[in-house]
Amino acid sequence: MRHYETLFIINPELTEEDTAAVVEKFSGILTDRGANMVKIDLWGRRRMAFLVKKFNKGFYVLFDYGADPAAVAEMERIFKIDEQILRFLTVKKADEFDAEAVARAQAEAEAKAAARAAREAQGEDEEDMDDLDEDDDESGSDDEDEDED
Amino acid sequence: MTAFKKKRGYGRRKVCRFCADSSLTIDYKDPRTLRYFTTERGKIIPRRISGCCARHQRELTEAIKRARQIALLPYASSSLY
Repeated sequence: MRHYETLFIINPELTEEDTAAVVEKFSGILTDRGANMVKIDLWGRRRMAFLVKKFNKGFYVLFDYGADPAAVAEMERIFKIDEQILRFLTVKKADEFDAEAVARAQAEAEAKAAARAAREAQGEDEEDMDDLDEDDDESGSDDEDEDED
Repeated sequence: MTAFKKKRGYGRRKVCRFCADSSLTIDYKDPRTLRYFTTERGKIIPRRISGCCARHQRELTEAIKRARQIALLPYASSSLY
């Protein structure tokens, strides 16, 4: 069992039900072959950096799971056949899939996110604005440096 | 430090951003961060200019190339400027 992550793009013109069906189909392919799904993340429709099969938008879906290489190979084979899939990318995150450790990490991340949400709710939108500004400033100054060279 | 300055003939020594700030992570799923390390035409900015250490630059190129495969970053973009 290895720890993988697959990001794939579905035809953006499918209806919501059809999109859900496609996601269901591929998570089914994995779970039928003994995979352990950690997370299914629907990013939703977003602009792609370039045209893929003449679409400029795509519906992104992220799978995080533990599975055997054969299961991944099978899923990728069907990705290639399925015309609703524009692109896919599978990355191996670890050679060993430790379900407990992954669950723990996920719980921690959720707790952190919840804590942050609570803090932001307290500080109201003022803090949010500050955060954004900081990010932008950093990037701006770095770009300038690069240009000077 | 001084030797460095003389050689470059200009003020600030660059430090790897990822070494300096451990909360920054390199992830191919995060095109916003990766975009800082590409030119506006989509090329990867070299280490001598970005100031990244070897290890992080390596991770960065890997991430940028993955992001390109999944259409999060452009291979080349002429639409901008």
